[in-house]
Amino acid sequence: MLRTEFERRGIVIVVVSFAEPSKLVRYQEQHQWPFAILADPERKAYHTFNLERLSWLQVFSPATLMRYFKLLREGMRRKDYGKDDIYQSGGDFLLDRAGNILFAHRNQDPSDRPSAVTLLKEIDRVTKRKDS
Amino acid sequence: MQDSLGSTEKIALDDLPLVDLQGNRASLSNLFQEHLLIIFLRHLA
Repeated sequence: MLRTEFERRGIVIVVVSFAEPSKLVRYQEQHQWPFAILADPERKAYHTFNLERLSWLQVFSPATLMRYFKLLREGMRRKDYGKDDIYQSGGDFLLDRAGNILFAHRNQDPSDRPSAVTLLKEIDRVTKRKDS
Repeated sequence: MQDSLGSTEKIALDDLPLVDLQGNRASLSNLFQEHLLIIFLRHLA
């Protein structure tokens, strides 16, 4: 299982959302993610990591529409967690104990999300370089 | 992966105003093993 691959490398995964904690409780009841989930409702952490709001063209890019079309065909149904901001970008960051960002991936559009395999490759690349 | 490597970027981990699902202040330092992978979500779906 891919989660084990992260654990074997000493990596703890933390998911951050700008949703209110009460919404995240309902989300976690639905999804049961095996990670720590934290809330940043004021988006100060998002700003610290330079995660800004996307443009309309980024949110509704052809790649995004293709991805959602594919997910809908595969049976995904969107759950309603209340009003939300679809323009906020997300991202993935690997940090060491000192707070150094070893790599950063800021989404350029909603479909721009690295796979777990890609993340593991990047983690191996940057941690090996740091150790050498 | 097309973003910056961030070799000059540094974050004050415990200055981030994150809270857990109960609304209590959360410390990223307490979660560490060797590295931390932080995944920032977009909207909930």
